[in-house]
Amino acid sequence: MLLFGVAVPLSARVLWVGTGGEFPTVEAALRAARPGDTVRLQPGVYREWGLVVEVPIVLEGGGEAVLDAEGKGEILLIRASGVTIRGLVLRRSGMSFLRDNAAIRLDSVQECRIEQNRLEENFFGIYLARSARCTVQENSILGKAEREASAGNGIHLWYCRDILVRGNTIAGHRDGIYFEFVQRSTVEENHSEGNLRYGLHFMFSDSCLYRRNRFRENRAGVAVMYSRFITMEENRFEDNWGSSVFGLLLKDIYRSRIRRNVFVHNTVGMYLEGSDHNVVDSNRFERNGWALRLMASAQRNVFRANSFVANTFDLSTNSTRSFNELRNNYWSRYRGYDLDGDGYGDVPFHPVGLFALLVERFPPVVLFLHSLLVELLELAERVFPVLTPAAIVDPQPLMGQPV
Amino acid sequence: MKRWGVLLGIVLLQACAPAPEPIRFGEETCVYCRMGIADPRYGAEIVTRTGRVYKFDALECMIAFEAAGEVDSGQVHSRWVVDFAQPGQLVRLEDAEFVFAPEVPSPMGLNVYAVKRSTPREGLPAGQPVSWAQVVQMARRASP
Repeated sequence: MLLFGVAVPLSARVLWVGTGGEFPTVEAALRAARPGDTVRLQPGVYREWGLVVEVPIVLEGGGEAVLDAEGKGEILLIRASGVTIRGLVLRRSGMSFLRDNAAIRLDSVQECRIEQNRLEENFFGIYLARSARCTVQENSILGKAEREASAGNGIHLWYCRDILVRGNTIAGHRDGIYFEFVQRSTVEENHSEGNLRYGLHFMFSDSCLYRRNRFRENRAGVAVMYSRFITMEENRFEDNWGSSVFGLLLKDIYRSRIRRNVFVHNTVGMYLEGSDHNVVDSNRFERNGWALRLMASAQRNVFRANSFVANTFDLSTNSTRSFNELRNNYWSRYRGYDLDGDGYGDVPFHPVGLFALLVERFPPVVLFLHSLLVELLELAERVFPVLTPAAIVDPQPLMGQPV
Repeated sequence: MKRWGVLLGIVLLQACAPAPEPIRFGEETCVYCRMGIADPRYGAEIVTRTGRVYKFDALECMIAFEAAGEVDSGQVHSRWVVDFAQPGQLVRLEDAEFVFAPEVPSPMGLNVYAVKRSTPREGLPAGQPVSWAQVVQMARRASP
């Protein structure tokens, strides 16, 4: 950093590319650029690809300069630290089975900024490999593939740390945001919608924070897998429908915190498998098919102060024993009373209904949802519980919604 | 009439004969890790003697699935892997070779791809050839 600080003021120039500029192509300007220079693109379409940035510069386009690879390969490769790419339109990096061609790839760099770019119809969008302390913000990333097989990820991080991904809009890619072997990074205020697999997909990425994102209508929802010490706050998971579709799928997640999120109108709001020691509090689950599906392999998790409102099933599990703690949640289905007026129901609530239990064991039974027979069975079961697991209980349900 | 019966018998036998099924990429999920199977260069399948088919997004999920005892190895009829050089195509495990290519990320992070034996390697990502036994060992060590 000190080095740049000294070098930049001495040599900083602006290199103009395009109409009236001194360089006809971006490639020529990049070859001439010295550390600290700004390469500025005039409005227009530049049919170039395979461009490499080797020195710390600012490359900017003011929103009207288009780099179009015409499907031939990767567009921009950044191999220097301290590079800023701003205000470009990047189009059509080529689909390939041999190379994950990105619109912008960063490899082994630090302190780079990718901001306010528009990415259209690329295979992969922004791909960071082995990089640290970079910022990816306020980009709009629109893929157009109809099939997962020919779509790459919108923002893809692989072996990175201390990255900030903020305020981006991503749609039409395989996974909107994909993290693999990433540490201490933050994903916030992004909008990931209509992606072909997951809106957000974490693999083997510890100590990351994601908050205030919106994940909507992604074909398989959001998956957070094989990670520890994750904080997920104030996100919205909405309108993710279909079989094997989850608002949030947690698989092998440890010691993480999930709070103040909203899960609304998903087939399954949240699904936990092989996950333990997580705290799930102050979330709102509303109008989901299943608000929560807890597999027997999910243990020692705490569910506290959540609101369960108008879900078809509040909780479903494949186990009759409980290895998790449920306490002080609000359940719109609760029919208890609060005679002493302390805000807590005086009788415990058993959130796993008989019918949910049957559906878990024999999925086709779901056809009988809302049938008279089922209503009667549920009523009988409430009065004389025989089959529903007594151990899965909220001993002190809230009378009013905490969130 | 008798002939029709024989024919029907053959058809029925065919129906349950153990055979691999093409993976529908983008539509199916891995039975082990539950991830959507998306990358047509990777994937694996176990076919049981009764004709049941288990599909995986990556080699290591197939290995972990068997290691977890989800299927009895005596029940396994055949194992299939996707040929990296022919995306989406399944080849028998015995007819495949494996390459550890750390620069080519695979869906579950093992970074091993499979190719049909004696496929020309030009144009394929470089890496270190590894045996199936080594792949199993690597997967166990990395076991997700």
